[in-house]
Amino acid sequence: MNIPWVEKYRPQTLDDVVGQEQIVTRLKRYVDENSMPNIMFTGSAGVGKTTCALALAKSLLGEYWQQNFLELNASDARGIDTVRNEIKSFCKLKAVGSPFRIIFLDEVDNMTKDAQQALRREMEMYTKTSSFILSCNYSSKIIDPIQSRCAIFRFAPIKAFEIIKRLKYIAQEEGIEAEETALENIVYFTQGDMRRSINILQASTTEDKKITEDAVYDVISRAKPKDVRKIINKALDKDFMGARDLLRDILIVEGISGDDLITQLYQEVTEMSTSGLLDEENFVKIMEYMSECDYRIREGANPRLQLEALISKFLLVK
Amino acid sequence: MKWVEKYSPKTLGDVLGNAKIKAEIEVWANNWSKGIVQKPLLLMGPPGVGKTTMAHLVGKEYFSETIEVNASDKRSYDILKRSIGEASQTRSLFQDGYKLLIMDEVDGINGRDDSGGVRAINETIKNTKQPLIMMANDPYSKRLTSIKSKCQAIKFTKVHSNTINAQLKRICANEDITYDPEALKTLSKQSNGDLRSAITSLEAIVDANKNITMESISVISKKDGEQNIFDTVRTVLKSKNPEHVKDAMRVDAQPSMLIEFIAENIPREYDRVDEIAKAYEMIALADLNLGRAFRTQNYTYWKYAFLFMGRGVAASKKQTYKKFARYTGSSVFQKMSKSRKRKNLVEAVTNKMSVKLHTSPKELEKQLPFFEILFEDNEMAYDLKEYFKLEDEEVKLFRSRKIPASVEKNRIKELKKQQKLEEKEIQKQKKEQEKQKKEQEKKKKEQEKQDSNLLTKKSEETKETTGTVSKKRKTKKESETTIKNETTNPTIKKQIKTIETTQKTKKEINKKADKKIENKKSSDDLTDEEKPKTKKYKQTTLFDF
Repeated sequence: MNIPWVEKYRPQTLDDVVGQEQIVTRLKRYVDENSMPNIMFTGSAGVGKTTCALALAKSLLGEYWQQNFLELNASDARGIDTVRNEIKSFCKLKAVGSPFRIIFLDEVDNMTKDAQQALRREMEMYTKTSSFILSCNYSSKIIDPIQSRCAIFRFAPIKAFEIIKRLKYIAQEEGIEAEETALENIVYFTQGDMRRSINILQASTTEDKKITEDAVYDVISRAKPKDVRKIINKALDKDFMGARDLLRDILIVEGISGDDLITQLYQEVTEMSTSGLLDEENFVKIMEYMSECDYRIREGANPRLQLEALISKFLLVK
Repeated sequence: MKWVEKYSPKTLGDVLGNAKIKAEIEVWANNWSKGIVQKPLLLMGPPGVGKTTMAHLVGKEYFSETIEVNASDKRSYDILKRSIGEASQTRSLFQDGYKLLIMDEVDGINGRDDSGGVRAINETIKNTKQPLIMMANDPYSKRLTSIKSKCQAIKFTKVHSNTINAQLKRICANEDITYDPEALKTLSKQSNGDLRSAITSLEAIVDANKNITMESISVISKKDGEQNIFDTVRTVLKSKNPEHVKDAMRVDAQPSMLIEFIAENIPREYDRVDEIAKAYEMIALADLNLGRAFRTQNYTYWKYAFLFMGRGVAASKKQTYKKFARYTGSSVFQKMSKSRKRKNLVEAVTNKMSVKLHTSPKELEKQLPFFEILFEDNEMAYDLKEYFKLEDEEVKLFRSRKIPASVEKNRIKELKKQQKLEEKEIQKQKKEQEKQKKEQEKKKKEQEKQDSNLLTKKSEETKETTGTVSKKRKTKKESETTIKNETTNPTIKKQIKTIETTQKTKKEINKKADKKIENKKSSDDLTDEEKPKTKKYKQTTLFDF
């Protein structure tokens, strides 16, 4: 039975967690003391926030952790109603078989301010029976009162050598021969994101149980939005409507996310600069605007309108 | 009596402007009165152009009765069903002919307060046996999309300012008012094609001396431009006059909608690339503020959003264009409706995956390409499908080919095999456990037997009995075991002898038990290989006892 390796090889205990040594040491102390404050994990995707939360919950709550652990991720409707009803009714009950109960909320930065306000109440009211683990990509999007009620742990991207070590371990367990350069390519592309790295590893495994540089390159380019260079070229040819239409196709029809596309645009523009297709002055100008655009998208602006504005800047390149 | 009522047309013939539309409506009404069932009418157009008047006049001239529901009433599903829904099913009791149902401002049905209102209207349209006329202001309203297709939609245009001017003059003559013709002209223009507002304004500015001058006009402010969204877009893109743009931005439209319409048409109007880039920068700023307003639930940010998307975009052009540009709605909406099916699928699938992978659907969406590759392999596809509990339809997100049925068969076979293996394993374990139990029992019995042996030895009959037992057994059991027994017999005898000797040396029979066991153990250790055999023998002999 095949299952996704991300889940198959998810570390089950705090000791197994890859990287984040300092955070893990602190978390272990909570286990020793058999209590924990409200915690907030912040950091980009795939750096171990959920893994740490699950491992911590298991070691704190013991055998009956599943009954005393509530995981709400962004797929569950998380308006005020959820906070008020589901979380409340879970918190109200005393833990059975465990010292207390833990609520794990993923992507809190995507909750509305109102829901966050409601959450803040719950965090205050049930301190005796329950503790919260919140997880988010950007703590700046969390209202201050919640931040002040949490111990905040910032997860850094996992270091390249640690990811490679883990990938090698997985390959060994699966009986796979992996080229060193292939693994390096994966790590270079994923920039400290373990989940992505493992997914690419699994996707690049060929039928004869080998991972080659070519296979990795294939997988990575499949995951990249297509036609990004075409958008830029159309804009450079002053065909703004054509460029905009392509952009909309990628974002709306293909369903590529805004931050993925802007990363891709960044790479393409950098490549154009190194290959001399874009002079320095224009390159810097475009990058200046791109950084602003990137920031706005992360702040919650409409990615498509922001990107349309970004490509309109290419029109100015002479 | 207000002038608006006093001078409102009394017959269809009196209605000003929109002559073609008038004819179309009359044909519709005529057909009804002949008993030919017609699609409901949907009259769309800006306020004050005579939609309601026309509808009521049609009711008066062609039908026996008119029933009206308008925006001042609450229009939830239940209420609509009860009022107009029922009326649409029944015919009048006392009069012949049809009842005309009029529903005003259908686009104004509030999504929250009038829950199910649109559904009720749709049902009424579907089932009605009576003529129905609906009115709406905004032809682009989202709420109309489902209704529009089921109706005969008629678009009213604004009344021309000359027509308005003429009507105002007529009223003035009738009311004995002296007027400055320029004043009336301005008033007509200012009303922006809204005859009703022009008449209302006229009545408001007439002073005690029944006189109208340019001065009196300056008293009343221009009617707030309830324009349609394209008028706004046109003004923003065409005009460089901040006042005009400011007025135009007063349009009653969702800012998120308006920004799309303006952004869409920037490159259609503006030709210079620097203007496009600058205007789009303004759009981006406006969007940023809309986002802030939404996120913080603090809608004061909207004022900046409106400022940037209106005056910001307008000021981005160096000079006004004197060309005809064809404006359109945003292609975004078409693309979205096209991709909606896929979006729903992605949502359903990533939600299922997120349960298993403890990862947010948003993050998973980015990793779908990797899973797409994994799904290429038939067996992997089958396993993942089972793991995530996906439906056949949902697998289509990853692969267009179906997973061959043979894969499932093989997998089930394998599973069964595995199950059998596991069962066997379990049975093996059980057997071993039983064996262990038996061995333990044997040990116990051994002890007991030794005890009993000791007792019998005490009476010095042991040698004989064991001899006879071994003979009996030979006849019952297979030869193999008998051979073993024969070989083991002497060892046992030895054991017994050793026990006997220890016994003799101690010569204390009552306290022996514990020590005997110890001795037995030590002897067992000495004859390790023969141990199990001796046990078997002893057991059988015990049964024979």
